[in-house]
Amino acid sequence: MRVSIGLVLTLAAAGCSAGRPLELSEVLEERGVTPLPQAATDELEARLGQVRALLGDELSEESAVRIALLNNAHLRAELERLGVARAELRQAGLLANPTVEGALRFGSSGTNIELDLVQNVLGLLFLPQRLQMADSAYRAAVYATAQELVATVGEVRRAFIAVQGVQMRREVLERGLEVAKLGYDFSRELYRAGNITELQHTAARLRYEEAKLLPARVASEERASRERLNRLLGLWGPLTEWKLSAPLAVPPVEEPIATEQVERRAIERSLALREAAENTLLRTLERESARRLTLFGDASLGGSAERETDGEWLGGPALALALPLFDFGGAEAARAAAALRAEEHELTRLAVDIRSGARAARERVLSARELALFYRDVLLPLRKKLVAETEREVNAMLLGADALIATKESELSAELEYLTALEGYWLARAELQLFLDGASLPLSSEAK
Amino acid sequence: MWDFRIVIALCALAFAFTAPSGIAAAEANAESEHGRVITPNGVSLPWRVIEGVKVFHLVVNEFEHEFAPGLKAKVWGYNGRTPGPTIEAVEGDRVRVYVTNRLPEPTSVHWHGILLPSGMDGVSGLSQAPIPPGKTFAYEFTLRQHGTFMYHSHFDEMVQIGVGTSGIFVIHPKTSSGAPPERDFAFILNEWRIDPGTARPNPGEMTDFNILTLNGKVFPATEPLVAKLGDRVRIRVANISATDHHPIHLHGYRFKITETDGGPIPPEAQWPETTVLVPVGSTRTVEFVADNPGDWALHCHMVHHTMNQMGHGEMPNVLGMRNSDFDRRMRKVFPGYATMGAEGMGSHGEHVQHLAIPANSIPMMGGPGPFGHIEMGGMFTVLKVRENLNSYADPGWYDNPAGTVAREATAAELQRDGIVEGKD
Repeated sequence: MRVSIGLVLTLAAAGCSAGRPLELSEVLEERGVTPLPQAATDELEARLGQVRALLGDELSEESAVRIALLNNAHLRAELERLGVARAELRQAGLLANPTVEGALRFGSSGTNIELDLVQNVLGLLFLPQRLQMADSAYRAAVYATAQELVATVGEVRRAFIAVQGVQMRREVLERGLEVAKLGYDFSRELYRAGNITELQHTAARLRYEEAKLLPARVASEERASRERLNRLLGLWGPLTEWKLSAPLAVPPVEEPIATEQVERRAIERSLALREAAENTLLRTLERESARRLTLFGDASLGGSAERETDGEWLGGPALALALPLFDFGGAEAARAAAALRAEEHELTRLAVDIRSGARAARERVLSARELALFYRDVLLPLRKKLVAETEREVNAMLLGADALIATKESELSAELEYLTALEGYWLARAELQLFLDGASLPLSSEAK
Repeated sequence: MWDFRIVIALCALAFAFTAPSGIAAAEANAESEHGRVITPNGVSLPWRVIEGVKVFHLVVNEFEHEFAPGLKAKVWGYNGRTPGPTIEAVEGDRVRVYVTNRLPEPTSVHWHGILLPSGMDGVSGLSQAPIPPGKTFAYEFTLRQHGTFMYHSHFDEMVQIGVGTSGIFVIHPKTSSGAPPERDFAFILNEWRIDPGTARPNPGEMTDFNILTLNGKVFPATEPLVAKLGDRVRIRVANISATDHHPIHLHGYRFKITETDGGPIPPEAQWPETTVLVPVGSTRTVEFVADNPGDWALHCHMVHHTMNQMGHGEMPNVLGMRNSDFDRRMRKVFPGYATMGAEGMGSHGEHVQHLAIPANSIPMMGGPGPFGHIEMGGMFTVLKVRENLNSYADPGWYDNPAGTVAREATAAELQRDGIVEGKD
């Protein structure tokens, strides 16, 4: 048997490389997303040490994002899946191993030995196409993974904002409860002095007791918000005792991106579109090679040798070929064509949805901003003025402490509404940023 | 012998060439042998005699009036005043009063209690057509009585009187058995609703008035009544309030009610009193001899009528409340807060000197006195009787003779008289 090792080696060496593969970090840096920490490590203690350092005395939004990128188990799984895709790309560049077959037949007159060595040559012929397809699939996987990271960063930012918002609301409600207690104490003193009826005093007590409900609900909401952030950051045990005191900022004087630029940026940066484009390219390549692959099926070329029982060796080339007698590859071609058309329609749908989603997100930011600023610039100052003027009338003995307390409670209610509006603004901003960073909310989530 | 009417006419002629027409100071009036009325915080209306007729001019208009320092409001009145200038005339005078209307609506003037022809009575729609804005009407009649009367609007009375169109009309007797009293004071009482922080009375108020005035002023802006020891004093009180009668009480004296707006009361029927009830739409005149020196309170005895701009109904009753801990916790939320009224309301006037109250409003009560804050407001003034006076200008506070001022009892006194503090 003479096996052309050189041919095998040449063939094996021929199909390795299809160019430098797309790097995830390039895709992320392009969108201003914090690159993965350099010291990412599988060693638990080392990673926890980095997490503790990032937690520091206070958790900030940026440190929360870095912790998530370092410690979120789902993201770590996604990165491993990308490793799978990278391995598949490498695999696509390799030729199939040659096949050697041998048989020994023992006869009365001697032993018959048969040896065959074949190599799939169709794989060699279609290697460039296979590499191209694998590269597209890998790039699609990179974009998909980048989407997961960017989406998770967006989730972290929104969860952080939610914690800030609920904390600020809880503080206002605590102040409100103190004020409500003053109202009840006032009533209790008047009742003790014999100046109000049982009915009036009971009504005052009811107002106070009812005032306890909302702070309790918000305290529960705060715990839930913290846990959501803990899940995103992969924290447990003492690591969940982080502190966060930075308040929500007031909306900036101007939005950082103009309305007309939002749609263009969302399209340019969209990772889903890029993934879909790669999938479309993949389906295009599949369609192009579908008929040929089916028509030619499998083809192997090699050599065959046999030792007759009388000791004579016979040898020569061997060819294995699938004959396209029944399947001419039409069905496969049709499948590939339909899959391509489906992918193209999905690409169009995605582009329309992204444009619409970006516009809608922008509108939510603008209206949330207007509402927050209206509270801050108009309603809250009027409420404060009302308290000040009421205090003047109390000083003139025209109104009592109960009226002053009621006015203050109204001011605090307005402050609560303002904080809700402010939180709504920053959440809308974070959602818009998702579009600008290349991820996007699923349409169903925009309804909430 | 001079005919007094010629004297008056000559004086009036002199005035006509020298005094500004219509709206002029009370001192432009000549002294009359029939008496001269002192309208505290006010003036008398000047007049001139034209062909034997005493001619007056009233201009009804809107203007800003100060009830007391710190409280001004847009009111309606006569010649820039509320009450309008006191009209003084003599029984038998023929008077002609021109009334110019500068209000935004028609008006008329009723001469309250005065006997005159039906068409001069001033009831708009009944006696006469109303005076349109911008027009001048003339009233003319002969005075057939003497006493204390009023003049006031009789068109849209609730509004026009409610925002100030009223004044006093005094008719001196043509002849009398004696000289007029040395001091002859006239007041007109009125009530207003001016919410703190506002600057216009609410004429729609029917019961809850919060500014009660003597001649358009509230204490501490009411001028005192000054008399020398031994002066005969007459105090004429007219009540143009919307719904409240006023029991006017004078400390330190008893007096006789000598007149109503129906005429003089015969001496044998004069009612002795220390408080004269002046019903709405009436006048009452009291007289006494100022034989008791000192500073004597003169005020309405309805206790809410000696308060300024008090809130009714919206402020809870805090009397008896323990407030020290409550106030401390309130100040964490409202830094300047202090419960007022838990120990009574007497100190309010002093407290508001360092507290912010609504703009254009005055404390509920209080004005400076010789022994601290006088916790009164509204319809309150002081009769000051002094032994030696060079003039009737405000002589300041009475210098009480030694031993005549209530003061804290000494321990020796308590012991001498068997008084144990805290024991009945």
